[in-house]
Amino acid sequence: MYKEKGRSREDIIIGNVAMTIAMVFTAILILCSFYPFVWVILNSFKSNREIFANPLALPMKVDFSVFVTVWKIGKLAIAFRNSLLVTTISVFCIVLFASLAAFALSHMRFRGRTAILGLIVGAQVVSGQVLLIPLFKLFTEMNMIGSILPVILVYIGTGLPLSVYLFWGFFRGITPSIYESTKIDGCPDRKYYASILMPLSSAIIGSVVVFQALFAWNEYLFALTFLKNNMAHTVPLQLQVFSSQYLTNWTYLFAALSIAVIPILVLYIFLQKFFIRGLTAGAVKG
Amino acid sequence: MKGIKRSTWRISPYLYVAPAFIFMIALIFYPMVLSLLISFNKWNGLGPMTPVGFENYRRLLFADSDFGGSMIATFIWVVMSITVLTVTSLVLALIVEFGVVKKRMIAITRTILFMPMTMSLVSVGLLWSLILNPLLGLLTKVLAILGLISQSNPPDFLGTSSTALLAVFVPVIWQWSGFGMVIFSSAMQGIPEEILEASIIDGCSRWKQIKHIILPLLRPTVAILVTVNCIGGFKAFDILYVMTAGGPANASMVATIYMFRQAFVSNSFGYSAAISVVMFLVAAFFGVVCMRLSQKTENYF
Repeated sequence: MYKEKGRSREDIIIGNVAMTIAMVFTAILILCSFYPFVWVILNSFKSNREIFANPLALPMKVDFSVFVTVWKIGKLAIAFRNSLLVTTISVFCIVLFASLAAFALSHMRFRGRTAILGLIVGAQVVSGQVLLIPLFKLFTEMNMIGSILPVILVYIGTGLPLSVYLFWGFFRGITPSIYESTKIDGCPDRKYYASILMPLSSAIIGSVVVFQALFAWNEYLFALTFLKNNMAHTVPLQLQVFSSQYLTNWTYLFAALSIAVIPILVLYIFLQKFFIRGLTAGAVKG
Repeated sequence: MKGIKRSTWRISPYLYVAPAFIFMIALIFYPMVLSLLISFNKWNGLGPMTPVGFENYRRLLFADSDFGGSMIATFIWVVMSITVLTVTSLVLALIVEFGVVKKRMIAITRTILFMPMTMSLVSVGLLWSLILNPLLGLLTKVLAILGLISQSNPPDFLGTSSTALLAVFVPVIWQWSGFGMVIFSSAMQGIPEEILEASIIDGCSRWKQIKHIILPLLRPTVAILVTVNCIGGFKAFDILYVMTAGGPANASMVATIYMFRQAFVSNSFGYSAAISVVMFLVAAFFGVVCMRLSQKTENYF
């Protein structure tokens, strides 16, 4: 209760008024963040006419068959399969390659180590757009445009610098005496990596997985350029095709959006700690 | 020390670094060099390349008003990213961290405010195209009910040249404020509890506390966020491409969209590569400026 000491009655009243305004403002912000999701889901249950008559009203009836229809005509099964493949393969490779490299960079001394670290930090500034055209040229020459392979390769390549950097920062925080004592006991490096270092690193692995998975699942520019074949489309691309093809059918567009958004949303609610931590870790680097 | 150095000169560290390093060389550094080489050529994307020297750069910098226009749009976008996003993020973080919300509501508030971050920019773009749609849009309906715009003839924010760029930025605020919020939140949690308690005992009001204690301590975080938003602003592509594709009448055509169009619509890949090189240099320059400024603010304390 010492909080109120030294404050006049007016101060407290003004404080209370300000607090109420701030709380109302907060409620509005929360509504703004949340309601669009609800709006999309509600509108998937309404007919075109209902949407036009009043986009804010509740649907007259709840009929889930629209999702089945949209899933079929949007060929979303293929898009989800492609997105899942692209995301899991690229995230797995990133975690493996980045942790191996960061292990050597943080635990061992060797010639060229500083130079390699410098390149890794510098590579984080490179934006996707500079790489787009030369990569398009390379993949066209290798006849790979239209399959998901180039997209996977590019996600691994562009995801590595930040991931190596994050792992490196984490591994440096692990006390070197563990590594030294296992060395003395004759434990080979690969065994230290697999049975001591990686099990200690679940926090950073979680962050890198969430960060890179979100990127791979949502990426648009490279996918748009390299996946000209409908069968290789990822979810973001298929959604776009959908919106132009069925532009007149608002119900379908709302339903397709719901299908695209709900899986990630559910995942987010379960893993929200990892999401928030993962993105913070990624941002501080700049 | 010499003995140790010799003994550590062995092959295994390189084997550990190799997979990551090879991927980075093949997919980042080599393409970067290639981009520079392509930019000195005329190339339609399929046939052989014709060397043209600095012609692409000359045309780009001195004879292309569309590029000039796209750079202006880009700078407006970057300035909005730096200023608006940083302020909205800060406001959200203050709400979450400083007692507006009840203690047990903090976690859920943060979860909800961060929720838009999980959507892809394409989904956000489509969602907001629907929200801003003059006929059935959520926003237009709400504004009409509040009497701010005419109900019979609602404005088409995305289809009007003067408002298109601003209208596309609204979803960016909606999505990315939560991201900045998390970063500010973690910085605020690092402020020592004693300082805040001492100021309360001294009769410091909450507003004064924010103004004189918290904001000055957050300066380094502001600098980080400004840098991130600056670089991110130069890279913006997806949401603009989905919502307006640069239109109407090039009003929202930022340099990245112009570059994409030059390559994949006009088939001028050499010219497009030149744009990407110029864009990279501009973004890197401003990125470095931001980082320098942020280092200065850190020295300030």
